[in-house]
Formats: sequence, structure tokens, C-alpha cells
Amino acid sequence: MRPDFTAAARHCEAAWPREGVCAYLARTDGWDFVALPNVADELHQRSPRDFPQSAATAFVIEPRAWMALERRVLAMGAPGDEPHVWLAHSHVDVAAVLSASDQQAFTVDGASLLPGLGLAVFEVRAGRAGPPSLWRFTATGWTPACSTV
Amino acid sequence: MLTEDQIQRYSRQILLKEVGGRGQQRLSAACVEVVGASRVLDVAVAYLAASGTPVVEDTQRRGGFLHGATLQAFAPDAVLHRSAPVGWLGPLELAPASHDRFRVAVSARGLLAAPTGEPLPDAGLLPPTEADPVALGALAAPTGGPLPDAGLLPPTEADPVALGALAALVAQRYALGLERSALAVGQVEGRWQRLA
Repeated sequence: MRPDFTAAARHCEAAWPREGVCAYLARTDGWDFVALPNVADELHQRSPRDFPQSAATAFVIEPRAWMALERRVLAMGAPGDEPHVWLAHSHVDVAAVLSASDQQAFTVDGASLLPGLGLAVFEVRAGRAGPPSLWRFTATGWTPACSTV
Repeated sequence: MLTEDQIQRYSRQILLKEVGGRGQQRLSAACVEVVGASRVLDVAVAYLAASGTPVVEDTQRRGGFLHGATLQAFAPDAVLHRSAPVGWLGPLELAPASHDRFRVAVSARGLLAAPTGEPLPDAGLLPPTEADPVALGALAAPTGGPLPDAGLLPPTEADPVALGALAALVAQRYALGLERSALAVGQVEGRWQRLA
């Protein structure tokens, strides 16, 4: 089963006109929704050279929140066939596609950034989120996943 | 577990996808023994220590600008004396300690690296007549200043800053688990390349 992504859509709508980012972690009877702070604006203001993009076009997960998520995912053990963690983020007034830079951001040395990771991308236009596009990691990299299982 | 100070200090690295929180813990838990003295190694030590990796230096190492208390002031997590280093970094001709998990050997022309137990690759970097890389340390110059031309530098001499940074990067990749096989890095027509 996959999450229904409603909470993620609401979270990304609330973040508009900035990118929103959040996660779902599998548990035995459903999914835990985790909102993640996007600190791209703070970093961009502090160091535009190192962080050229603001939260309007990028997301950077706050380090402590990222570390906590990472710990939880690693404690979940080996994934099955389906992703057991979904990372969702939104594009502001831009189509819900996994761009080349997105794909690069979620790939480390030819492997998924986290084990058992699936990606959901929302287009949020004028504050309203459309349906997410879903992606999973395969031998050929990030490929579209069916919206239902 | 990382302390709050460490999270703040290394937050930019934690944001890097290749590192993350798990990777920063690995970098902080790793310990690299540095043998020998040269500007290349000084630079490598600076990069390693600044990334949170403790550095153990041997007694042959003499007074570089990062040595001793200065290094600890520069990088508070860089514990100088700690047992069981997991990596080794130094000139090629010195044998690695048996407890290392990896070794990164620098020469005047590039670097060779391998997990312990695997032979260093033969990348043509080190002909038998290669100048002793330790000789680099005898050519003192302020940081950023040119090395004096004392006839010691072969024509293919690498920039010690670039080579030191590369050596630290390679050691970090082993510590992070991103590198698991032997490799060689050298210059080809002025550009750094992985040779093996």
C-alpha cells in the first residue's frame, strides 16, 4: 500500500509560493506523516554564493530534521518490493516532474539516497496542489511509478 | 551521536547528500593516521580535520602550520592522539599499519589508494626514479606562496594544495563507504583524472 498523500498536498499548499517538503514512513498499520522544514531561504540569504536558489525553486531540509528522518529510515531495516519511505516535495507553478537536478539530488553513487525510498512530486499552482507524480528507484535510475498499488 | 556543537559546525556537510547525518557520524568516528611531512599532507590534514575527522600524526611530522595545538584550535574535533586509526595517509614508500581499513599514498605526481589487503594500483605514477615525495616538505613557503625552485621539483610536480585536497577527499570517500576499491588519481595534460 501507498500513502494517499493528502497531508503532503496540504503541506505543500501551505508552503506555496515556496517549495514544501515532507515524508511518509511506513508502519505496520499505515503511514506516519512527517513535515520537514525547508531552510533554503535562510541559507540563500546567509550565503547566496553557496546556496544560489531560494525556497521558491529549491528545498533544503533542515539538518536536524534530516538526521532524525535518516535515523528512522535506517532503523526500519531492509525494504521490501515497495518503498517504505516516501519523500514528497512541491514545485512552485512548475509541472510535477522529477527534473534532472531532482534525480541527481536523490542519487548517491548510483544508488538511491535512502534505502526503500520513493519520491512524490507535486505541482502547486496558485496555492493548489495537483496530483503527485510518483517515482521509484530501479536499476536504470528513477522511473515513474504507478499512482496506485 | 553527534553533539549539538557538531551538528552546527558540520551542518553544511550534513546537508550534502553524499554525507548526511549518518555520513557525518562516520567522518567523526573515523581516525586517520598521517605519516610523514609535506605540504600535501598539511593540506590533507587541514581538510580532514576541518571535516571532523580526528587525525593522528606520527612523531616524524614536524611543525607544519597546522601541527599540535594549532590544529586543535582550527578544528576542535581533531583529536591528535587516539588509538586504532581506521585510515592511513602518507607518502608511498611507508608501509601502512595493520589496523587500517584503507590507505591513501601520495607521491609527487598523484595519489594511490586502496583498502587494506589490496595492492595499490599500478597507474604509471611512480617510476623507480621518482623523487622522494617527502622532499616536498623541505621546500617551505607561506601558504599561497610559490615553492622555491631548488631543483627538487620534477617537471610534472603537482600542486600540493590540489593534491592534498584530493588526498583528503579520497580518504573521506573511504570513510563514508563511497569508495571500496583501489584507485589512482593523477594529472593527464594538466587535468586531474582517475587513472585506475
